[in-house]
Amino acid sequence: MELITKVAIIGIVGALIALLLKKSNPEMALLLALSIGMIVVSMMAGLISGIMRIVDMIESQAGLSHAAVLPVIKCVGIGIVTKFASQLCKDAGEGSVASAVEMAGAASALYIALPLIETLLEMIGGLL
Amino acid sequence: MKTHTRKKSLMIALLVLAAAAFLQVPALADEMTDQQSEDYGVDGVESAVPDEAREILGDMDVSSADADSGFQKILSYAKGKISEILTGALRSAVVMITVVMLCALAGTVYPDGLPDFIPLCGTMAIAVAVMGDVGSLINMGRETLDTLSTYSKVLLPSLATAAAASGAVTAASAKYSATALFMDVLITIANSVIMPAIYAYLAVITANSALRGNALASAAKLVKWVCTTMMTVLTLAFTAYLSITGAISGSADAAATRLAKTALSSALPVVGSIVSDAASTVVAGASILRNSIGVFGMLAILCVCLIPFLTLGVRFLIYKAAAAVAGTLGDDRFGGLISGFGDAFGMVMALVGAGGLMMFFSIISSIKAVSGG
Repeated sequence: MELITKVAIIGIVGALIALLLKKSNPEMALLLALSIGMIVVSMMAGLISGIMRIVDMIESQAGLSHAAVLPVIKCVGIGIVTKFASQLCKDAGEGSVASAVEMAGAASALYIALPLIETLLEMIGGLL
Repeated sequence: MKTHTRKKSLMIALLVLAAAAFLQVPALADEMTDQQSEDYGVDGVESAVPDEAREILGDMDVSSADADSGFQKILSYAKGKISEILTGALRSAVVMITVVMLCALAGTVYPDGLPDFIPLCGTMAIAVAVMGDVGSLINMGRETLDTLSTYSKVLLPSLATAAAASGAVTAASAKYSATALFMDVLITIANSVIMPAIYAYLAVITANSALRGNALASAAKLVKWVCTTMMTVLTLAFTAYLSITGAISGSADAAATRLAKTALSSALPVVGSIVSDAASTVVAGASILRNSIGVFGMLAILCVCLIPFLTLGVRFLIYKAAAAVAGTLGDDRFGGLISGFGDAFGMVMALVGAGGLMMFFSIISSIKAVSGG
């Protein structure tokens, strides 16, 4: 609760300042938005480590394979970072750069998922 | 006087012989049952009981086969195993839900729907996590069918011999050959068509969930329909064949038995009826033995099918529940994939069920075979 209050205050104040700066100095407004985004993400790092601890617990208790869950976590991370970066690019009015970032994100995620696809194909081949 | 004494001695001798013969009846009956047991291959039926059935039935044999105590043993064994089976199924469900929840985390920054690569990765992760489990359970179904088939090769001839001895000569052989034929057909179809089709179904539903849209949904439905239809048609054909042959050959056997009894009684007055009664005793003994073999066989088959059925049934239900949860948590594709895995378990369960049902029908119809009594 305390954490989300801080995040909300930082977000609202940052957004207001960025709105004021946007008319006179749009570059500074973009940098401010980026900085606030980084601050918020770093504040949430504690929560992410909590989620990872639970995933580790499930891995050990339910027999969840690390090789299966790690690519998912990486993909989700790639998805979040891609969204954040592409949105910043769109805010800066660079739609083509945003598209390039999204494409790079998708390519990275697919690359991360390749071992999973390979393992799955091997498993199906083994079953047959 | 001398003649009178001779007559008296003869009468006493006859009475002693009659008494001796009367006293020997239980011993002869026991010997007859033992001989019948040996002739009908009861020892083989007992020694060929699969290990999983022996573990449940303990030291129960054909002579002590009792449906009530057998069901009690099966029930208590199932109670002991259910928590283990449930734990295994719940573990798989937790693994799948964890992956779905991780993917749903990304949904917080994508309010308009996840980008394709996240469900793709999640789908692959779920498939990798549970495919080993699915494969081992499909193999369990295949092994159960093999076990049923192997045991049927010992049980059914013995049951058919006992049924034939109890008067159902034509019906017994017809039912035995029908069951042997249909079991072979089922196992051949299972190994060459249904099992590969289930693997293909798994591959298709995984690919369908990984891709956007329902491009392969029709193909998955078709594969599922082919599998279920084949099993249904085979079971129905077997049941129909068994009913028709049972009705025709049963009437023929009843008529033949009555005819033989009448012919014996009328052709040989006095001795004929004695021979006819003695034959009825043998037939009654064979009927009792046939019923005992049938009850024992049914219990053994129930034991063989018990763990696969429980495991597959529990997995089916848990996967369906997990699919419902996954559908509410994240992308619909996850729900479809998990539900599809559940359907694969359902198909294997139906396959094992078809094999078990064939054996049950065969045993029940052999027990109920018209003996012409």
